[in-house]
Amino acid sequence: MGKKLSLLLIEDDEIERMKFKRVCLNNNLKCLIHEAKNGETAFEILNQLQELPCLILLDLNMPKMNGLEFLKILKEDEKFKYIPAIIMSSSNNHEDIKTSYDLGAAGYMLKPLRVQDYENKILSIFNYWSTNELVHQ
Amino acid sequence: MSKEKIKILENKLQLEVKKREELENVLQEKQEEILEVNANLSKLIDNQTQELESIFENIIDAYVLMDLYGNVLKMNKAAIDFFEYDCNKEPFNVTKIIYEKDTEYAFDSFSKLQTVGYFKDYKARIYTKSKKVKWVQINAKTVNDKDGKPTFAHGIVRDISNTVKQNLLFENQKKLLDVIINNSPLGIVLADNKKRFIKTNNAFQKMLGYSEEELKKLTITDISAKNNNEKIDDQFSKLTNNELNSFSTVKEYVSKTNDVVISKINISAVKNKNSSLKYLIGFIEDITEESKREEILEFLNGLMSSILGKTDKTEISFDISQKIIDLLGFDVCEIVFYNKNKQILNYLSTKFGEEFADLEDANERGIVAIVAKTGEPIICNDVSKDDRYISAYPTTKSEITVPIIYNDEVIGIINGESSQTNFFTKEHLKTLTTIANVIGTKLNSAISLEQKLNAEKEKGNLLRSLTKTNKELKDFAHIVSHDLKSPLRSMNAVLNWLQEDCESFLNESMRSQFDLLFRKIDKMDLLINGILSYASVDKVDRNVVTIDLNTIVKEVLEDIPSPSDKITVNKKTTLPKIKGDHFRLYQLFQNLISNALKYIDKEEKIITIDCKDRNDFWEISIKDNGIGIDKKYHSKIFEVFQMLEESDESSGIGLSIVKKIVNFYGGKVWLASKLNEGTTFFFTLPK
Repeated sequence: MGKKLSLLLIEDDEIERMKFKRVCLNNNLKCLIHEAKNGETAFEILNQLQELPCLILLDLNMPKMNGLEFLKILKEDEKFKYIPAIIMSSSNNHEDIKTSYDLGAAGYMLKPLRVQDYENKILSIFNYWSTNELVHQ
Repeated sequence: MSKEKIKILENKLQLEVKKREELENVLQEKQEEILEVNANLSKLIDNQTQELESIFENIIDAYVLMDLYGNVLKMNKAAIDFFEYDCNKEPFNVTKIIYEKDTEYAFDSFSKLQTVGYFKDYKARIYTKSKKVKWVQINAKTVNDKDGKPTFAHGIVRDISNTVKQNLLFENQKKLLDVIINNSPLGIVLADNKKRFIKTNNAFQKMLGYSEEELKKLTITDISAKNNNEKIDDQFSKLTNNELNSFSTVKEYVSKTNDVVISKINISAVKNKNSSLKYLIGFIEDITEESKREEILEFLNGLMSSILGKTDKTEISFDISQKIIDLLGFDVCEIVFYNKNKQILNYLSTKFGEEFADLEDANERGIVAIVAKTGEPIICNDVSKDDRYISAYPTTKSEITVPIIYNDEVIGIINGESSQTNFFTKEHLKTLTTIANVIGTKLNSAISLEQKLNAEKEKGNLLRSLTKTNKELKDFAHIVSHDLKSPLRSMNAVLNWLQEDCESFLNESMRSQFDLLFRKIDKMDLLINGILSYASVDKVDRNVVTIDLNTIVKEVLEDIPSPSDKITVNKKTTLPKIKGDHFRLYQLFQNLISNALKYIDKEEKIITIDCKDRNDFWEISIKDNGIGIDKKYHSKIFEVFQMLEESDESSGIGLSIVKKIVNFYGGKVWLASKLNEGTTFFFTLPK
């Protein structure tokens, strides 16, 4: 694996965040995980960070600012719009998927029910984005 | 007696004798003188007579000399030619040749001749010898004898047959002309150069309601409407100034009863020898009716073009009522819509320049309600004397009510009211009936449109509410499934970690309990997905394209997860192509085929797909060799969450989705089944 991947995980569900971190831990994934419970906090974190994350993992269903709203603002921001954002959602609603891509999502991951399936998907995302040269400032 | 006395007497006698002798001598002398004079006189008369004779012989006109009994004594050549009698050859008495009808006149004239001594300009008819009737004009005079006593009469006879004939002809022509003039539908007038009427014909008198005598006291100016324009005055002055011989125009006159008569006129000038204006001849055609008709026609045209673009019945009605008021001078005009089913009168009134709308029960009394029911127009000359009238406007004195009929049904009413009694005439009725006929179609379509719009509005409302409900339902299903799915995922995750963390302590029974929990979580997920897809069957708009059902079946079979069993799918026929969307048709076949596979307990799973042409529909059947379904469950299996067997693999929604999709396309679904032999599902799809 390449260098350490810095991530911003935006997810309101605590167990989902635990699940993600556990997958990283169990698989020794070299990554730096920033966590935000919703869109607002995510922007606060982004503004504070010295170095922008390589990847944003974004849940759609969140209280306050939801994932799509966050994505819209992110893609309109001159500084942040180059950060690839991958949607992680339980919605296979066609409309959601289409809107996400319209807004500039880098990918759309349907959250599977089973942990094993989840782990597989996360691993493949890691594999892909670790080998991908990302935009750094 | 003394000698002396005798002597004296003798002397006296001698004197007397001598005196007498002298006198006798004088007398003799005088007598001789007289005789001479007489002889001279007769000679003179004879000469004069001769002279006269030669004059009369030479005159061209017929000349007769007769005694006082009419016996002709002398006649000249012209007279002989004229009368065809010759008094020299036969007796000729003028009284014998008098035309019977003129006898009285002739004898009157004769006695006048005898008493006064002459007659002049006697005109009568006579018979010639060959019994020809001739008109004669006679001037006659008596001739007195030497003692001044009338002895003869002589006269000059003129043949005026031709003149009389011409006069008669002229009279006849004049009469004919008078007949023509007086019977002419055109008004014909003769006026002098001061525009005073000299002669007018019946038509003109009738047109204006004046008698001929009354008109003779008037001038053209007196009967002209005050608003006549200067152009006509100008034309008149041109006629007078000899700049123009005639002109035609349209002009308004005022009749004796103060009605305006619109006329087409042609005025010609008759000139004197010195070219100055002598008479004016006018031909006047009353075009009041025509122009009224034209006005109405124009009105109808205007009305039609005005309401043509309008579809709203209120707007149309106010337009019509205002125009009727402008045209006919009503105070109030209402267009009333009559709804026969609901017995409602919908008034749209224009009164005194303002618009009102009102609803009324048609079961009430009132003239409008009566006309609405009978379809017969009513004119009410005095509303205060009419029980049927219900007062709406205090100023109303008379009312006219005309039905608007479309397809033999009264759809509305034109109601006019006036603050004068006896205001409405048959003309008004005629005009309103025409208007009613013309606007009937338009109003009917406006009513239909309104009904349609109302229905559409209702439909729109319903649709909006349905759309809203649908969206809410969709959102609900969406949200519920997401909110249910997340905890499931979490449960699955936590359970997983628990299992991992406790791996070392777990025995067989604990493991199977973990499995049970996982399965239940899976089942829950299945149910939620089922609800989601069930909810989205008729909620989602998809592209309708032509889809080959063979391809769908192929895809479904490819996607079936468990290839371990031996599955045979027979297609008895090539499936049709139908119009639909891929999502639903895939779901339909997927659910039916997987349902069939699920319930086949045999080693060799055989599915047979068939399709039959049922005219408007395709009837497709999917047959399995499975366990079969008891008849009592046939209707139940299509209900949501109905499962005949408890199964972790089944959501119980599949067949509900099938039914919903088939219904969505307007088809039917049913089944035929025998326990342990298999089940055949049939469904129809429109072509």
